Amino acid sequence: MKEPTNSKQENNFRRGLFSIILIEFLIFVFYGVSFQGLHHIAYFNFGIDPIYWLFFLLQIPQFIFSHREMGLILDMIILLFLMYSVFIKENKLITWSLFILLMLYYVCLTATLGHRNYQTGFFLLIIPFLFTNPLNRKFAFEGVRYFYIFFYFSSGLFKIMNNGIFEPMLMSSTLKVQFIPYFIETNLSWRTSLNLFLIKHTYITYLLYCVSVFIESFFAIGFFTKKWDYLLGFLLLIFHFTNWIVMDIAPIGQLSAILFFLKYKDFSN
Amino acid sequence: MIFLPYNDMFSSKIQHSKFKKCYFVKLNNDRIKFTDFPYWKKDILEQAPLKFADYINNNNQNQLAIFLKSKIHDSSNLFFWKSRLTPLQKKPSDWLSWYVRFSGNKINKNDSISLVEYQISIEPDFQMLKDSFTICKTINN
Repeated sequence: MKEPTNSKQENNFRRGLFSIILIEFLIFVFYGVSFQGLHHIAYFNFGIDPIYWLFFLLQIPQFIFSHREMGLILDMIILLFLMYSVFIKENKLITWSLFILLMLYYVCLTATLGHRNYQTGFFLLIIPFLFTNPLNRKFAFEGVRYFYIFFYFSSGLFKIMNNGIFEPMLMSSTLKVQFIPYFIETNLSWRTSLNLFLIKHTYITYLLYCVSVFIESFFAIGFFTKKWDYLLGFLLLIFHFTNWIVMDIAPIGQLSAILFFLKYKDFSN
Repeated sequence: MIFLPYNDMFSSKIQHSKFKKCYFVKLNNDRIKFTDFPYWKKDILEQAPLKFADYINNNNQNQLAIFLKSKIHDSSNLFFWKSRLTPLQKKPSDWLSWYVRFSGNKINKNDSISLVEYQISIEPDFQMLKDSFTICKTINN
């Protein structure tokens, strides 16, 4: 395989992205939900998606679920390959292996979860590094960038088209339902107190919802210019961390996408 | 689909249903708590009982199995697809044991494990537990 020859700036950008992915994967391991943590899964559930079907038809996830050693080996391979990419150099074979393994991991994790949360940054952002030719790589970077712009913008658009934005009670009702397990458990943490406050103060919650719709819709500007990418990255940071604080949806898996928007403009120039 | 984002979460108008369902696994009659776990683990521990209850309530089939059944009419062909894409017949005891271990608990001899559905009444100013019943239960021998 032809190995890529990169500029110093591109190497730094790549190292930054792979460092975030490494940190994210270490968090998966630490949380006990990495390949090894998914050992002996007794039930999985996914929808109509050719990527999931391909892996499951080949019985790869089933094999990993039933062999703890396999999960452990794959975790170690991913960590070693990520460390190689961060601390040593770029290698095409390793990058391809990482892309396939991390996509397989996303498939296994979300099949276990039974629903998808679209936190795909930790493997989608590897796609541009699969290409050696600088022009192809540039197009791949642009493709990934437009993918995420569309992803966030369409999410904001859905909230307008489905009338969510015209429903002041929607967010507090969502929190009320989302936090039922916390109430049943009598979880007395600060997050429960915050949610009780937000459920009670409907208009503050509605304001937060409107701000999130504005942030998501603001991504439309990315279709026309890269000038605002830094701001988009910063807004994404606020959006995801507020989601984490309020709704307990941590952006682990999507942190690399935040870094991408913060740094891509400098690199692409 | 992974490469076709369709993220319409939290975008729809409220469904004015007064009842919501919530699922917990009980080990020796104590609910296994999950809300203090970090995000991904919490999400799996929260969603897995919901999906498994759905599986049991649908006559031991998940939604994909129902979809495949509606599309493929040849039985041998259907078996091939179902055997690869769905978890087939899972004993509730296997799932319950997995859940307890995944949550970091140990199972001892004669421990009872059950999957319980809670029905919550959502009122404007409060929520009230209306009913709860056991969906499946096992005793570890």
